[in-house]
Amino acid sequence: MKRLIRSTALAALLPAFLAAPAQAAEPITIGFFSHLSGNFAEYGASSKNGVELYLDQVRKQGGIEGRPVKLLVEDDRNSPQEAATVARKIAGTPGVVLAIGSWSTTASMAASPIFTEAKIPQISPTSSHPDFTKQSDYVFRQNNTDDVLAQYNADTIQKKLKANTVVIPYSQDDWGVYTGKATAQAIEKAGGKVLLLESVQPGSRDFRPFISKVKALKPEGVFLALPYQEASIFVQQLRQAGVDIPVGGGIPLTSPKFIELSGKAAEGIVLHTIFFAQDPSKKDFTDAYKAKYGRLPDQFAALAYDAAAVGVQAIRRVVQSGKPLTGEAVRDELANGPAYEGVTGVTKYDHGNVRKDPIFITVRDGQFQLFE
Amino acid sequence: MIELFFSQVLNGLAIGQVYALIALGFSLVFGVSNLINFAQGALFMLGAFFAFSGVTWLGLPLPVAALGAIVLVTLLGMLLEGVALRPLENGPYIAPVLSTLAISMIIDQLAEIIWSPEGQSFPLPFEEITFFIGGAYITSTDILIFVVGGLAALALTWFLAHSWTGRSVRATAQDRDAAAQLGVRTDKVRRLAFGLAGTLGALSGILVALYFKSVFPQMGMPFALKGFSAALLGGLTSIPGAVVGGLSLGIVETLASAYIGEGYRDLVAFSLLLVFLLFRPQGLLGDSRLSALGGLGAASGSMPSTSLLASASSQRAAHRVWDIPPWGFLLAGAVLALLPLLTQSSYVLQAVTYAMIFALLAASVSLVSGSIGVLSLGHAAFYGVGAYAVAVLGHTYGLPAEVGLPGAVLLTAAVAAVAALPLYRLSGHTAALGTLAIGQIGFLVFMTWLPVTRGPMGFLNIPAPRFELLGGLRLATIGQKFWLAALVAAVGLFLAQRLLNSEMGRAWRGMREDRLAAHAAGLPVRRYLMMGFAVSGALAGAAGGLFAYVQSVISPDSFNVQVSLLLLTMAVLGGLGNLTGAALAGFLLTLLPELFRSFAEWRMIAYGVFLLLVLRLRPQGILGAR
Repeated sequence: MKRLIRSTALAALLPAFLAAPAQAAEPITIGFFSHLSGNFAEYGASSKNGVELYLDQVRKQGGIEGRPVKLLVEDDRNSPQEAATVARKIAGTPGVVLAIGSWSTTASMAASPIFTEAKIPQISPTSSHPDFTKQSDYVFRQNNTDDVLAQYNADTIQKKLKANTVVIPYSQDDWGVYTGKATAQAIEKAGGKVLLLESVQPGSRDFRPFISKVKALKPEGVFLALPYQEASIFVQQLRQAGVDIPVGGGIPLTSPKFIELSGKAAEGIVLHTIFFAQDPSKKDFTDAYKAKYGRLPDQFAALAYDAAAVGVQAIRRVVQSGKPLTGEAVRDELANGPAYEGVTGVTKYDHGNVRKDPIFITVRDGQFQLFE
Repeated sequence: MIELFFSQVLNGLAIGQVYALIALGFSLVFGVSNLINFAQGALFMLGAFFAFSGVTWLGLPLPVAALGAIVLVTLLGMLLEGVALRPLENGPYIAPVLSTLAISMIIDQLAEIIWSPEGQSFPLPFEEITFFIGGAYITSTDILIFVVGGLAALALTWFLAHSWTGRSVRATAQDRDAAAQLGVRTDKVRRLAFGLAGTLGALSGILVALYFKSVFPQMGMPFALKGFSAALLGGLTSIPGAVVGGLSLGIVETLASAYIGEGYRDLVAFSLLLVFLLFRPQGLLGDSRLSALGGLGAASGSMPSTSLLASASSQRAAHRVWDIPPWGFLLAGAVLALLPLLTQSSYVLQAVTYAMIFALLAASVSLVSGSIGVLSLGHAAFYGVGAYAVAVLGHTYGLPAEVGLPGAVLLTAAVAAVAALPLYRLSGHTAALGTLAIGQIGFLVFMTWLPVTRGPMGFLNIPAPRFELLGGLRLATIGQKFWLAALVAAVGLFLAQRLLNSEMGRAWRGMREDRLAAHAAGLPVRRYLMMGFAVSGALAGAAGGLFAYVQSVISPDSFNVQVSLLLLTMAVLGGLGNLTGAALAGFLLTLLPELFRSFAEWRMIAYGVFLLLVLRLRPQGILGAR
């Protein structure tokens, strides 16, 4: 409802702004789209919070070089079709020079051709599939690609958990299929052995047939390339079957929901992440987020915060240079800009991709803690 | 090796027990009211969530919360019968099924709003113990499920076999009219059956929550689908059949997971169902009345005709039908084609393009569900085949649009015609379950056939339509694609309407009204059924092809069961068999939500309420069924 009022107010104000002669106070509009309803809507809300928090801080400092910043928020329900529709809406709004979104690679990719056609750069905070940035010069991301993450996955299970014969269940979705295979390759390259690499349909709940197979194969470790809902049931059923080998996981399991759903079965699991809220060096961001939203930021909020930061810096540089502010100019600044140190690591674009270092964490006493 | 096999069978029995319980509630309602209760999944989910809320919000001990949840859902089941079904008793045969569908849409979405779409952890009241038998294992929760589930099935069997009320339930199931004449209050029996379905639904929901130690608002649909399949495998109306069906479904899918791969488990489960429909439509323990060509109802007494539009008294209420002649679609297309000249907004153009695509899709569903009388709950699969055909031909093989689009149309028509085969021997609501299985198989094939469909990653960068014959004309912008969509949709609807107005259309409607009579009159029923599906498939294929061209990115998410349900809703709202109504409903219901973007989560609820209202006030649809 609040959003409706805000956008109506915006629509009412817009003609006034357009009528005014172009001057320094002309607002700069940034489009944001993610899933704000439906499945996993909390992640979309986290991303939105991250972006809004950064823009609030920009506004407090008087906007971008004195020009006010507007955020246009759209809900894509995590559906490619909806993402394409809202992308058209954002691209069609006058004055938009940057788009941030979406959460899943599929929805982000459905939007990309539209932004590319409109010459508006798009930063997806979370998309990790390597194909995403291969689409055009206008596509950027904040997360590591799955190739980089696969190496971290292999490090988690081999170096941190010392397991060399591994079983990998992977989710049959855009993220899981690539991650499962790339992680298996990385493990074998480092001298390990993958005994079983098998897909799991999204939404699966019964893993006992799979676990019986795991029991028969007697691996040294399990790596879960699964979303947290499936993963939490998997580890419970694994422990229930009396299998107590080490378990490693990737970014999706860093959600606090994972610990909540898996309970005691989550103890001792090792994960890697690029943002850890309890990290003292991220205190400023964490405190500001907590003050505004009443809870700790998750990885998605942090990535979105950095996406907004990187985007705003690029816009700022265009304004400073005195060039006309267009999506094209912002794209060039994004692609060639200096390295930016954010809350999730360093952003320096190479064909739209970043490379950020991992932090290893584990579950101890029902909480995420740094893994030493 | 053999030990692994036995441990897998044990795993299968554990999950199969859960399916059996859901199938029981489902069979009970089907037996008594000859109605497929699509709300069974919603009752199942509500049972689990009520128990969850009782434990976590009110701090009740689990047995108390569970009992409370079961009582609540039982009452809700009876309420459901009273509110949504009773008023439709003399309405068209199709109305009650659709109203359970509408209710499940509403409940599922409300649950996401109340309990958030996220899963929640379900507290176990006892410390779980695992018993090991060699490599196999069984947990205390499994034993609890076996005991409670087994007791429930036994109690139900005893109740139906020996109690006086149970006898009247069985009598109603056998022949409702005869039972009514002998003084059985059949309306009360029906209410009781719905209440019992709620009881069993809630009980199985709670047991499933214990089994997975968590609850999800989305848990209704997948388990309901498995429950339907289990009931159908077992023979729909047989109580032992439901149990046997559930257990065998559990074992088969577990073995599929063990020896083919976890990712293929659902595909194997639904394919098995389709094979059964093809070769033994009466199921494992069902009687062969189900396989009747059309005259007889699936289980209870006699259904006067196969017509979905006829009411229980076999009378079709007279109603006005509004529709436009075939050329009207060409005119509408021509008028719409002016839009890109009026607005440059790519957002508006894209929204209207989707609306035209959905108009075509709704018409395709209306043709099969209305004119031929096979309620389709799987049309998204045909839509997807068209989209993937264009993607593969255009992207993988780089072929121009004059090959891509007709290729998609022909391929989808062929797939739809073949899909009609297992449906041929089914009637009424059972055929609807068959289409549901076809839709699921389609979706799972898109998901798993990686080399061709690229699976969940979807197709990217599908090239813009390019016409070699027109000198390499490329339709790159949304305005140009809009014209292509307007042209294809208008011509497609024009041809379909001409067909429906011809001899062919009359033959289809004749088959719908009475398949047996049509057969006796010398109509080649099977061939006509396949042709009808082929035509409907061609329309859906064209829509899919357009969708792929317009969006340039496709993934299986766009072709799931929700889309099928939405399309059927559109077809019903417009008036089954009325292409004008379907096209209009498809067009408006795609465009209207754009105006209410901020209320996206209420969208499915609004559709559900709208559907209920229309079923109640104008069951023949807004523009009138033909």
